[in-house]
Amino acid sequence: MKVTDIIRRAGRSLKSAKMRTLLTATAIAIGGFTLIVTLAATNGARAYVSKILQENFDPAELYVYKDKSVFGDDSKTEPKLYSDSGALGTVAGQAGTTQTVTLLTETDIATLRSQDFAEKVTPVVTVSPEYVTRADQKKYIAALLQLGSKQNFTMSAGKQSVIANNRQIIIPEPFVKSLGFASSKDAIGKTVIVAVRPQSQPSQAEVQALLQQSAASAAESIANSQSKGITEVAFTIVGVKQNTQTQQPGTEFTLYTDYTDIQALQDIATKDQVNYRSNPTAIVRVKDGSVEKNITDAQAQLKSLGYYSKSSKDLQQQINSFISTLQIIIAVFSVITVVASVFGIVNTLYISVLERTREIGLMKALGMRRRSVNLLFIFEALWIGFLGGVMGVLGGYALGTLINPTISKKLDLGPGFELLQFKPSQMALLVGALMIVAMIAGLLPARKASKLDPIEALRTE
Amino acid sequence: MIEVKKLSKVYGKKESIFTALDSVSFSVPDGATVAIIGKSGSGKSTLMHVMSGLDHPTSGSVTINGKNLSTMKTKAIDSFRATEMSFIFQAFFIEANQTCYQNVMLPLEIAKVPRRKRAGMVKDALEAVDLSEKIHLKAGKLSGGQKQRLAIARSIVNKPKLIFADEPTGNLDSATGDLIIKQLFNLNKSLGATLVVVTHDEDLASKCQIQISIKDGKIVSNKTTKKPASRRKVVQ
Repeated sequence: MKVTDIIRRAGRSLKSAKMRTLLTATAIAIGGFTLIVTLAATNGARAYVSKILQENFDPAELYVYKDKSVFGDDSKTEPKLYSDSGALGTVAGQAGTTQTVTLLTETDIATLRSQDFAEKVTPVVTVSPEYVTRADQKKYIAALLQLGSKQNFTMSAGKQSVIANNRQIIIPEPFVKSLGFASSKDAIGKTVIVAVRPQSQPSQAEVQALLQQSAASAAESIANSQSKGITEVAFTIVGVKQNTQTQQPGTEFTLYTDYTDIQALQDIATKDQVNYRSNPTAIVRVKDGSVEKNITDAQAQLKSLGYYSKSSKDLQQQINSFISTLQIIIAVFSVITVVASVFGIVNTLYISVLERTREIGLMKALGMRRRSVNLLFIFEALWIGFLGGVMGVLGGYALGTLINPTISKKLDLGPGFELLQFKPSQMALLVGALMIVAMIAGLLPARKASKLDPIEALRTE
Repeated sequence: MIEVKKLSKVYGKKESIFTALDSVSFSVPDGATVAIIGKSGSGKSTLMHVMSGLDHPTSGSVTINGKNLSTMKTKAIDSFRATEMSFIFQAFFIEANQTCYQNVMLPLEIAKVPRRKRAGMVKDALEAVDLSEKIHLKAGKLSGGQKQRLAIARSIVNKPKLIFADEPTGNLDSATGDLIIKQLFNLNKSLGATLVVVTHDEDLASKCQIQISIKDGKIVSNKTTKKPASRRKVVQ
């Protein structure tokens, strides 16, 4: 018997038992449905991660650091040896703890700047403001970061750019109301005060020098409350940014200014200290960094110099490995569903063989080979697998299309971003895999059918 | 030409031994109509199964047109059955939820007849049994007599040289049975095939040229009533 004839005959016998075929296929469809939705969700999660990274990090830039603990990659079993080779600082550890880490000093920055691959080296200058306030307003805790080249804010007023050494600042929307402005627009051009607590007390003249200000403007802009051990610096608001889901996590109350201004604040805070001009990380912009090989070469070079580095791809992989773990957990449950449906198929086909004993007997009496009988039932199993797979995958796709807008709205994923992302190649592959699973389920009943004795079979009546 | 030589079939072992066929020998010329007569349990069905290669004899041989079935491999016997033999059963064994067309098509699919030839062959076979109008009807909707005619169409569609009919009228009333028999014999005549009818019905047996009676696995009589010589030419 020709294979095409067997396939058609298999399809026909399934058609004549529509209800049973449909119910058996539904079992496998449920497995297929869960699997495709899981795949779609993790596709979406990965795309979301890459979107966040793209909007916050430049792929041509590397995060360079001296101490593994900065990115939590240090040993969890052995304590770290103390070394007095460089300045020490603290970074946030896990669950509210802090960690002491070796910082990058000015010497390190100079070393990095001297590398051939380095187009630009910018230390990530961090300063913890004591508070942020405005005349006659309450004082608030806030963070201050330098405005990155790749940062892509959604502005509610003003512009997303600051002039170096000019004390210009971008504030996040929540501060508009808190600092007593009528609206975002109203805040533009107004003054906001950022206070730092110097570890040693610089004189007013020293502060002025550090801020590179003339004595005249200093008198006006610096409100120095040195009696309390705090230095207040006035900034001009040039922009108000909205908080979005795709911004760097944890920056809801972060103000942004130029690198030079943060440096000045840090200098005030750490003057004459061992950690003066020392920071945990620096951003190294790699020459022709859009070429991936240049990035990996630079990373190898940095490693030989005793520095650690993270590319935006490294960060992405780190987060993706977490997503993959989640994916595996859900996939295991879906696979259990598929395994359960295998028994459904075995059962259906087994009953089908028993019911069609006569038909099988007749076909064998008419000269149909055992191999052909075997194939007939295997193809029936494949048809069921195909049907179930297509049902499940299309069901998942339909559900995704239906609820994607709601998810995007609820989670505020940004315009046009869908959490459930279906790939045709994955859909096709999944249907194929389910067909193979169904075929395996069909092996036993098919064997039973092919071994039927036609004489016994034809005696049945 | 079918030659059956010292054919024996024994079931079971030792105390429960049962001899279904006991050294049966006879021969049938091409194009003849043969009746194998016996009561139930006489061994007539076993004889048909062994003659068609569905069952293996314990000893002895069956030679059809010079081919010894007992020395052939299963695959060879399968394709031999697919191309040169066919069956008609008491219980019709047609697929009720398939159309008449699909039912008659089955032997052609098994025998790997090229697809373009099939439709014509099926139509011819259905025409021969006056079922042309029912070609696309589900076989389950046919009456008993029509079902057996459909089974006959299926048995002749691939133009076999040998047709086995196992109690072909057993499930039919006598009037319908007579019609079926008339049709079967006429078709056999025009096809020039050898027809082996297994029956306990003496009346049906008397219409065959050769009557072989079986009792307890042994031949009790072998009569040739009409010479089938005139038909030999057709077969050759």
